[in-house]
Amino acid sequence: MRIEDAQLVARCLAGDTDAYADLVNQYQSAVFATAFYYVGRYGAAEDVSQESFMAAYRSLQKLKQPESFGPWLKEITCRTAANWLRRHGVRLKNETPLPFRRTLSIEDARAGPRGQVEKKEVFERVQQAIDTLPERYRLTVVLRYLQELSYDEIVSFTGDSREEVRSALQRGSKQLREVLSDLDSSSEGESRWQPALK
Amino acid sequence: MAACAQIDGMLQGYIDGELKSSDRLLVEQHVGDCATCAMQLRRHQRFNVRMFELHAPYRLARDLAPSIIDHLPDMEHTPIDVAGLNWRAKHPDGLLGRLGEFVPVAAALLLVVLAAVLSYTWPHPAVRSDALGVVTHRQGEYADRLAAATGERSPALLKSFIDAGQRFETGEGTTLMLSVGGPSEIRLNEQTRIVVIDERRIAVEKGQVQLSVGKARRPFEVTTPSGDIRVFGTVFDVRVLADNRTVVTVEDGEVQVEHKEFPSVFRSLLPGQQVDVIPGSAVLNTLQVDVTETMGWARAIVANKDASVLFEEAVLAHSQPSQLTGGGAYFVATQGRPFDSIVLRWKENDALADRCAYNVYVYSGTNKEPLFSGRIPRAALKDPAQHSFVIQNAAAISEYPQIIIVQLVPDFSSGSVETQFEDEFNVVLKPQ
Repeated sequence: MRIEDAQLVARCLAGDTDAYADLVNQYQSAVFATAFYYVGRYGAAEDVSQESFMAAYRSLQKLKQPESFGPWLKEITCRTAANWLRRHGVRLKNETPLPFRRTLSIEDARAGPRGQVEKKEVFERVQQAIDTLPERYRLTVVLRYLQELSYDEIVSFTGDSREEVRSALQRGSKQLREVLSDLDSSSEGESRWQPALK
Repeated sequence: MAACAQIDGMLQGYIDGELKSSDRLLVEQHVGDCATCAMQLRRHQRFNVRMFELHAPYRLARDLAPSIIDHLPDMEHTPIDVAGLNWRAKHPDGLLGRLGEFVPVAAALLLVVLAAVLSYTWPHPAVRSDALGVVTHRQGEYADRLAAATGERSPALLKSFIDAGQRFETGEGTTLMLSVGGPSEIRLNEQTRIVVIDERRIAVEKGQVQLSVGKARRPFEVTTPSGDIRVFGTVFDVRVLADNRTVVTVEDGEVQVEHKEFPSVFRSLLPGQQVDVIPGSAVLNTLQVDVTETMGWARAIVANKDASVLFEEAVLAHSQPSQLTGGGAYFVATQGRPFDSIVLRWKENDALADRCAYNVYVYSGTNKEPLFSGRIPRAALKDPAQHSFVIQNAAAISEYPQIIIVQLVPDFSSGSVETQFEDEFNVVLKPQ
């Protein structure tokens, strides 16, 4: 529930496209993460995100509670992603062959091509582990880990309470740690992983 | 010092930088003193960093706003048929125009007829607005249902409805799951017998059940031969052993356990804690246990999809959402001073309503240790002249806490109408 959103929606309805740009800025991370969670590849997730924002704009007059723009947009994004999947047949999540990023980080360069392949394999395992979480935790976990959204940002997008977000992350990450326990070696440096440079 | 389980529940929030400053300090102080939790925190942090690092390459790398704003579509408006209006204005007597007038009527009629035919032939679930729930899982051969009045035995079949007062019994190698309004899930392990009293009350006579209680605002009550358990939305396991001992284990939320023989003996359990209610013993000892081990059996019990749909359509859709407030917990700052009673006040009550009595539990606000309990009888709440009730402090307390927690739990077995309490309690201090 965001009062600012209701004001921005009112300005959009009056024809102010800058207000819509503000809404896009506010929610693009969340929409992208949701799209990525469904379609599993970068390019498609971008397409789905854009399509979702366009669809939302097209039917903005139908939005009954403008202060709940976030949850409404979430529904539209889920629907758009589901349609995309229907059009493209199968879920491509776990077969992500496309290059997805324009720049390499220092760690990537240091790890070399083999390191990158390994990293991708681990990423796929993490995605599979996320799929085994109870439905109600999944999106929250993805929003947090993929786009590093704050609890407030997650609340305004999903419409859940802060407490629900907190407990979904608490339990979701606990379950992930159990499933991926071999990634969590307690002796630093001995794992086949390098500790992240952060 | 705060309990490890309490700290464990805050670690994620701490790492995410989303804790209140008081909780943050609590965590920092605790991990300073407790090596286990400090290690746990480091592992959490490492895991989080790895997750962020792994996801980083897939993060949205550009601003989508410019391309979206450049290609914004038109907003949808309710279209007005300008061309049709013009045509009809020019051809007032046109035959097509005349016929055209009937098209919307005919289309509407056709739709009504189609809808009637469809709704007549559509397979409806047998709606049972009085049913409490549905059997949503059954595995194994021996699961029986005993009718409430006659005790007549029949098999408890998957997708069958559950009525108030029915008993369910599982034999060797058989598990059951009952979904009841709320919505709550009751999982029965083998060789278990329970009575479903209503949708927020069950009695466990023997065996082991796991409950996942929906967040309806009424408390859920479980009675066993030795203890009474009251909870709001939460996940926990109850096991009644052959000698009538009751073992309660909590996975999520907060669970209040009361000793049946000693009403003043009660305790509030946090996730990961277990308590043994032993007949004849007035001591409730809590243990830290591995919840996944205790509840492992319940994870294998998953609702049948068709049965869940039936439950949602035939039971959940017809159950009234609870309007009750379900009591509540209040904090009272007593600043460490001794007191001999607390006074609870409520707004005016009318005598006619079917008021329920309240159980009052008083905890220390610093460590959640139980202090004393009491009960506001129904008669006091029904008396229109009375607006308050005094609960005596029957406990021998050596050191009074800065804050006490007063928990009010409605007892719906005594009545159905709740009372609205004043937010401020008066704590009557003990004369020096």
